[in-house]
Amino acid sequence: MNLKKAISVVMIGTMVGTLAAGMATTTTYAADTIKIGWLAPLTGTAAENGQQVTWAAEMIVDLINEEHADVNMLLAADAGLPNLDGAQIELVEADTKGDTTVATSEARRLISEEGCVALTGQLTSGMSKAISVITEQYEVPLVTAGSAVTLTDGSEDYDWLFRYNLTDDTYIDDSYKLMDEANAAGTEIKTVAFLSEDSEFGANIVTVEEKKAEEYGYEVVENMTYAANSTSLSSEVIKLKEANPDCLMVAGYATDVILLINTMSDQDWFPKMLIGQRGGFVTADFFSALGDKVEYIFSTGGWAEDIQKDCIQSLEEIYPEYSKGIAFNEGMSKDCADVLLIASCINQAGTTDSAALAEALKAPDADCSQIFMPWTSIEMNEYNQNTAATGVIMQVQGGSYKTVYPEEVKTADAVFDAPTWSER
Amino acid sequence: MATLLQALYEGIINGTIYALIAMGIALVWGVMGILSFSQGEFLMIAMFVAYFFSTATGLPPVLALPLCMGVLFVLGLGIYKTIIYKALQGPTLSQRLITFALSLVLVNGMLMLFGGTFKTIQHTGMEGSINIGPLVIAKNRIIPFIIAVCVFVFMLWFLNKTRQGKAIRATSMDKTAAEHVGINTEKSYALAFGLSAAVAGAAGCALSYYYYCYPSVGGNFQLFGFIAVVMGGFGSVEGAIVGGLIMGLVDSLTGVYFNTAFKYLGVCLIFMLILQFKPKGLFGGK
Repeated sequence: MNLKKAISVVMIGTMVGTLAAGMATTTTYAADTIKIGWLAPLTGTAAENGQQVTWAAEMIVDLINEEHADVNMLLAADAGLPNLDGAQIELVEADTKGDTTVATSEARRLISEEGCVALTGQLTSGMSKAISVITEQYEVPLVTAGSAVTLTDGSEDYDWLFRYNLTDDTYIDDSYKLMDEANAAGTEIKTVAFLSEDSEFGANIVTVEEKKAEEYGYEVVENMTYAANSTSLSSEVIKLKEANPDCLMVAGYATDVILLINTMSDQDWFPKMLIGQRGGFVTADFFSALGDKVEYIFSTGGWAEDIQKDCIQSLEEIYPEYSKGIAFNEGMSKDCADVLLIASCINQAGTTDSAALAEALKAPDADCSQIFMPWTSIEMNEYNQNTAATGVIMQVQGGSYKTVYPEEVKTADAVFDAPTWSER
Repeated sequence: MATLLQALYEGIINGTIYALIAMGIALVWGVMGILSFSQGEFLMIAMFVAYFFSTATGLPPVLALPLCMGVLFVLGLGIYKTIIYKALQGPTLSQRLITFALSLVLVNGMLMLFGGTFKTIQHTGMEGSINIGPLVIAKNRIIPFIIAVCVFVFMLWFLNKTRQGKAIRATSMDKTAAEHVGINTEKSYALAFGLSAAVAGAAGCALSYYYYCYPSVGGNFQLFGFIAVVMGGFGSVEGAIVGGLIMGLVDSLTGVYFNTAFKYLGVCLIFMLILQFKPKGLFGGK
């Protein structure tokens, strides 16, 4: 074999190896393993965030598989699933590349080729809808943290889709209730504006925001959508500045949130209240890219680091070992809770049979004090939605999020009338 | 009136960045007939250079301008000598696709080296804004504008007034004739590619004042660069500048006075309209 051929063989071998590694990275265990399919963007623009969430999911699986008597989390006290003779959970990871078409084909592969008994991951609402076509066909449970109301309101016929986390309805109810609190505290909030990116995420949220504004009696003075990954949000900020709402609600991913806040700073405008609807507001990039500009910004959330539960403090300590120092955050908590609940329901069912697992997922027998979420109970309705899920609203104070709503779990008082840029 | 002034100002500022990207694409196309799909990635690399320079030294990004342009010029020359030169000897399709492949390599290479986190220069030395009547001028947009104007002036001077610039223009008009009169067209090609990368370097340095940086950032601006080039006239550097500015203004005015959801529609409609009346672009006939 001449040199050129040898180099070609090595290069092709490397490429095939890389491709195989990219298609499915699995954490393997010796025997009696139960596979859960994990779909997340591991390459592409969302890769950084997808990787961080994946590390968190791997941490949860390790806590389940190994004995951690010191961690007060479901299934952590024993090694593996006690009702299945200590069977181990294997997370079969698949790269969605942030693309719905890729996610759908990977979901099919995870079920038909890998033999996964349930699927979950870092999934948007749109992606969850696309994947559910596959999971409904194969009758395999899909657990999602996508927040679109339409996933579990009965408008679609999903039998195998489950959601334990909040819907947009609850997040937005919380937002308006916080505005009511501001009024009660003496900060006059009468008008509101919406700024949303134009994909499924933003479109779903703005629909609910509009509907609820009328219910809560707030005047909508501006309602704009924009193309994600915009090169400029100047015209959006000019219009916001002209409308000058008391409260601005934003639904956008990290890139656009960073550009928006910088543009608002450049044009010297900030409303009394800015409430982010998760997305880019609950990523590590939000803090690292914007520095002190994030101060006073609110975000709704399904989780907060200052919620007083033992297991949350444990995860905050353990996660940096997986993440090269990055802190556990809201964005990853919801997806990881889904992994934990799937494992808990497999244990509850005592089998990996789809029908039995689905029954367990419809009525999980889980102690919520051992789940790292703010919920105190799980009550599933006929559309497989946890109606007992509760959220929080956080505000950046002193460089980190503090829970300011609801009253029962808040750790700080909200600052409602944010100072202008020049006053900071 | 205040809104109109603000919209015009923001449109011009954004337009200058589109124009810088477009200028590089126009130069490479005009001289060697290659569509430079890697122009956005050159911009991205310059943003990383400016970011690391500024965060490491604490100095404003504008001081990294010579470094950004120098690094990108050398990189452009290197890429020309090792990749483009060979591709030019192959079929047309290879010539067109080579920079596309290059852009993928650069994006993924930077992703491997620096990860996908979003980086911004938080202290540019130009924080805050100046109020001139109703107009709010963000200080961190002034320097990018000045950088862009300086690069426009320099490039137009270089191409029209210097011996080497005239050689590049002659090569773009008729390569064979240029060779007959003793112009080293190979040198013109290499210089044109290096210069186009350096112009993207200036754009990246300017953009780092207010835009986040990550490996795929170039793609956001590349498409606008292409539209600006076609609008201005393929191969025309002056046209690229005008095309970029028109795009920035249409983008801003459509967003403010029509609907932010359709501002790219406005850009594309104007683009199609111009091509209806001037199929070769605004400066394409020259």
